Amino acid sequence: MLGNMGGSDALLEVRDLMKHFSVPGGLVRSVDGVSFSIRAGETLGLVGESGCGKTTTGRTIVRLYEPTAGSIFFQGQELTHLTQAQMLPWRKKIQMIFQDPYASLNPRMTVSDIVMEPMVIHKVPKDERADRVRRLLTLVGLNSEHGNRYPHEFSGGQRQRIGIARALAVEPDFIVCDEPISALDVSIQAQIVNTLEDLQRELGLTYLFIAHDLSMVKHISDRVAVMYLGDIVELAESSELYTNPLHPYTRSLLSAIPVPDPDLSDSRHRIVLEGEIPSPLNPPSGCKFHTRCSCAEDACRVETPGMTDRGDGHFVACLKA
Amino acid sequence: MTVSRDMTMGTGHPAHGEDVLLRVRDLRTSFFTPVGEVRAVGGVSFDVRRGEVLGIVGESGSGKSVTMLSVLRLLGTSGRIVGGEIEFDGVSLTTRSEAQMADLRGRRISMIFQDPMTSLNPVLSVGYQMREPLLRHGGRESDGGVARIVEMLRHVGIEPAEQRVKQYPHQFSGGQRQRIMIAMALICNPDLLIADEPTTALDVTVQAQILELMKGLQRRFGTSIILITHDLGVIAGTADRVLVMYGGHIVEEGTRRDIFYAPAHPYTRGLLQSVPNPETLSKSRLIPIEGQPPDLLNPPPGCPYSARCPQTMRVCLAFPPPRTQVSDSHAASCWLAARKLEGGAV
Repeated sequence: MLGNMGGSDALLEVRDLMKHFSVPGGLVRSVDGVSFSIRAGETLGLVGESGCGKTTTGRTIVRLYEPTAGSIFFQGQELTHLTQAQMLPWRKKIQMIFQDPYASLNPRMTVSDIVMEPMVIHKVPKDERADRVRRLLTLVGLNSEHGNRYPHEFSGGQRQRIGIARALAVEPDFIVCDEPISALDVSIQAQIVNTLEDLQRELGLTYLFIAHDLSMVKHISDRVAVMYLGDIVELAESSELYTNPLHPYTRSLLSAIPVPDPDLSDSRHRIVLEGEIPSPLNPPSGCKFHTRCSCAEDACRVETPGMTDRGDGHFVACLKA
Repeated sequence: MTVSRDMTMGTGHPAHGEDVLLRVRDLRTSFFTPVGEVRAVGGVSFDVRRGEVLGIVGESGSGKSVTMLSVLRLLGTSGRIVGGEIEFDGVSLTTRSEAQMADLRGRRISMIFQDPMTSLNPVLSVGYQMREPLLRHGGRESDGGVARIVEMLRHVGIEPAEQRVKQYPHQFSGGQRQRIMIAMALICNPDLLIADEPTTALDVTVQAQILELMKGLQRRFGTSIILITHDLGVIAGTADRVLVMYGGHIVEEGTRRDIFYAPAHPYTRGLLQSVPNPETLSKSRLIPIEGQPPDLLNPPPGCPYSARCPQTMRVCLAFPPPRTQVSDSHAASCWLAARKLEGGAV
């Protein structure tokens, strides 16, 4: 049963979530029925290549997009059909960190106003706000005196810290981190990842960590879900997924990660995928990966594989694995 | 350490002139902005040998791209080479006229860029754009170069090439567009290909395809490649030799084994520690490099890394570190390495 993917103490549960977009050429099935759950305090990594639907999944969970079908449960409450007004108290518990620290901060607002905005929306008492902003800035590793400055006075890494402070402003339980480090330099990425890990420990946060950098995802996540063309094809404990990948797509994805070690890099067997990701306007029949899969058989072209449990919470959607 | 094939080639020291295709000495490039002079490249020296893949790794603002744009003299209106010497195939480029440089670009030295979406003109067919370098550099094929264009598309795996030459950029995926850029860059059979973050905008599986392709073409045509990237993994899998840049300077240079297994500069060590190795099972905490890169409007007088280095000494703050040869193939610009060598000699 899919509902078990993550156990009973789930903070967030997503069932058969779909998000389709109408475009002039037809219907883009960006998210095409994904199910997973996230336990309180854990980090679920969501990986896949561009266009696989990972960002759309994150945004649909937060209801920045209206889901086409399926349901989202948070702390046992179904959020899927709530009105915007009913959604408001839940938004306090669910926050988001965005990819681009340049585009996601209003350049005309001071840092203090940026971090304070969620408190205004969620009616945090006025006399508490300024003090909270100072504490938050210190918490994310900025100088508490920096509140009067504007975003352009900060580097990319510092801006991302401002984005994190804003997400934490209303003391959420759950944060969707949408590629929070992709736009940053290597030496700064580690700073931000460590900050996210420290905050999780200190504040008991739960993360959905969306990224395409598989090494970082492995590092930060407890469990990892792999997406391909709108579907989750494999989901497992992080170390299990990386040592024992079952889906042919996961295998090729892992073998393509460049490793910072010349000897390992030379000796490694790379599974180079042929061709390109098919258009989500016209996805292949059966298993969507069959057009690029080296193990595909006739059955794969017809039959859509469902997620099956291979033990210890390792789920895979493949007829052959 | 075992003696590897690439170590026998020796590094750093110019000497054997035959081997060296591009020689850069003490290159300084600045951008003149309303707020002052940004010293983007603060004196770099290196050689590119024939047939090698030279990796340049560094973060944004380290000067890696500007160094290469200086070689091609594509600095725009605010950038200027303020000092140093660039020699390509025995001929000085620093004194060449713009017309002579234009004759070199695309024919002897080609460059591909990070973003394959904006590098191609959306309103011209791929075949038309690939023909441009052929025409510019005096191709006189009776068929207008069609055979050559189709052949190059085949080399980079775009099929069926005869039909696809007539298509427009939007009809190709990101990976395919980068393949087309590579085909176009190699169409005049250049001696040197400069690839500036060629796979950064691409997905990992496509990145793997493109890197394989570049290595294959390099073996086949013997082109020297300069591969600029911020991804240590890409360097580890592709480069013969590596330059590490920081704050407008080359801080370390060596074979990829030198750099990855015996890094001599604290910045290189810091970089290697700050990325997770996907092959290790332990979930050890990452060790980030604290602080921010230097402001190149006011570059520090001493070592560019001194403000962030965990081992900074007083001398590092005041004097730029000398380049110290750690082994035949391996050099670092660091006072620690210099002291160590001195100590060993006593």
